[in-house]
Amino acid sequence: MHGPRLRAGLVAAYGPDGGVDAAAEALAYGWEHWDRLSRMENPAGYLYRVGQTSAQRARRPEPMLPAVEPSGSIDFEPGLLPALEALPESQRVCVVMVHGYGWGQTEIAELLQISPSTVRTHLSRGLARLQKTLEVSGHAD
Amino acid sequence: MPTEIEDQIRNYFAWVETRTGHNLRPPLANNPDRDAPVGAVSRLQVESLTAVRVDTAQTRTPRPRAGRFPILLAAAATIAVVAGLAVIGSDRGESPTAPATQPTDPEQAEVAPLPGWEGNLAMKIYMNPNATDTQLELVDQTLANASDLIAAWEYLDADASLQEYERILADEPGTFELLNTDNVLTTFNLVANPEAAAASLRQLAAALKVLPGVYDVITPDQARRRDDATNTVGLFPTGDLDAVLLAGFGTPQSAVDAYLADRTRPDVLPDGYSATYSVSDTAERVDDNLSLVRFSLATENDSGDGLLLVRQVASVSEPERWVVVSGGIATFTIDQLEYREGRLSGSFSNEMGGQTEIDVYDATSGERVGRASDNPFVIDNLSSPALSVRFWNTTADGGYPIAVFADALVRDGETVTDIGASALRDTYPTETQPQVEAP
Repeated sequence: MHGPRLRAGLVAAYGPDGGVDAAAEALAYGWEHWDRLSRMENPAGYLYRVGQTSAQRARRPEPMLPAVEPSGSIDFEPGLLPALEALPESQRVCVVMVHGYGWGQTEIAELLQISPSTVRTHLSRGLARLQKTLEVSGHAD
Repeated sequence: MPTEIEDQIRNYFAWVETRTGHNLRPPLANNPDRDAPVGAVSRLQVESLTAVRVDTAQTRTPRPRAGRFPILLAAAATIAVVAGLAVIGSDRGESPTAPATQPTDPEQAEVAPLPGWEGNLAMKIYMNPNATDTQLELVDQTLANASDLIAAWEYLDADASLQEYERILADEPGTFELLNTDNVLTTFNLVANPEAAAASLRQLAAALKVLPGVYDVITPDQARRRDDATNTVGLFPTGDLDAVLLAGFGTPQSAVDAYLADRTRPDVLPDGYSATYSVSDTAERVDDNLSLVRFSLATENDSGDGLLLVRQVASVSEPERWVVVSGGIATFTIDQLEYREGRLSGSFSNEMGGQTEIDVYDATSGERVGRASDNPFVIDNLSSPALSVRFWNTTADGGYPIAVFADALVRDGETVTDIGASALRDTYPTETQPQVEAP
């Protein structure tokens, strides 16, 4: 139940490699300590924190979001990946989970342990910032 | 190059998902991978699981844990197959897999069980369609460790679960057609020890919910509450569809998908008329519990875009469940519906002109209880607590064939106004409005 959401959140926060590793660590921790987790109201939120700690400990070299190989096989503007990486982590997680993978705001709120309205704020601010960054880089071209 | 940032993000992270080799989406989200989620148990895997069989009884009692995993899995697989066959061969309304040990509770006995809950089941564990063998083993092990609470359990794999839903949904063939072995939630059915304390069972349910691969764990009471909610807040589905709610309406889009599939069934369309539809990949949240989903409807000679308003009916701590509340094609608006003392009256505006047919259904049973074709219209002698009112217009002025509809739910004693896609577009702030493109 928590696996896909946990992985999606951590991939959004730390990229595919760091995110998947962090999710694996968090899930392993969850399996090991599930007696304790099962008594928590929001075990997914707790495991997300575990994953965050793991990812921050194993910080990977930039860039966090890998380029697509072969280039041009996926349709997106060249400035998208740096613009996403430049977003604050919480904004990036909300934007990617909603628009990249279709998670609901309530589910994201639970994972990040914030309110749904805060998720909406992160989402709208993140998108606005991306829009602005991409417009600027588009004009520069 | 996609112009919308959201589309670009979707494209890139779909590639990322492939790169990681993990499913990163909500269960059964309406996305291109819905029919074959990343990491899903393939038909081949399911067959290989069910191929390992040992002869055993239909129900099991827990035994000491050590060294019993392979046998348990094989037994589970066998039970699933046997249970599925038993379902097909049994009379409807009786539990084909009724366990030998059943708690006796006179109060419960007075309440007819929901379909699928026969046999005094204490709990159902719904597993994600892509749950792995290891995740199934973990659930099995957890149940084995809870032998003081659980007297017996059985696992219904994808095929057996489908057969069970076929039985439950015998009156909803259109809904059943939405399910397949790739998207159906498989199920553990649990029978409690008669002496098990309710509080301990609740603790066990909480523990099971957090296991990987588990979609949800629900009790009969929760199922009944969801069933009641379904009956009163949504246009579709009607009747008992808890299992399908869990399986099919985890996102606003999947609710809309199911709704439009039902709305365009050949047997509910006018004679000689056929319609197809498509649903937008994204939903626009208008608040915590409401979303707008864009769709297109097409016939051989016409097409139109519309909006459906979809409501989340689960509590915050539960997985999301969505039902369609109202909406329709952009050129049609229900101006007013009033339902009081057995009388339904209403009026509507249709930019395309032509003849509109109005069908009225009992929102609980799905039975059609009235029909009209005037504007304004009145239908008397109704007794349902809530009505699903469906408008169809298939012929515009001059005989031109069109595809226009609008639907709304109205409860006894209620008046609703301005329903339909055009009204929805005007109701919500600009940033939440989907851009409706010209046909």
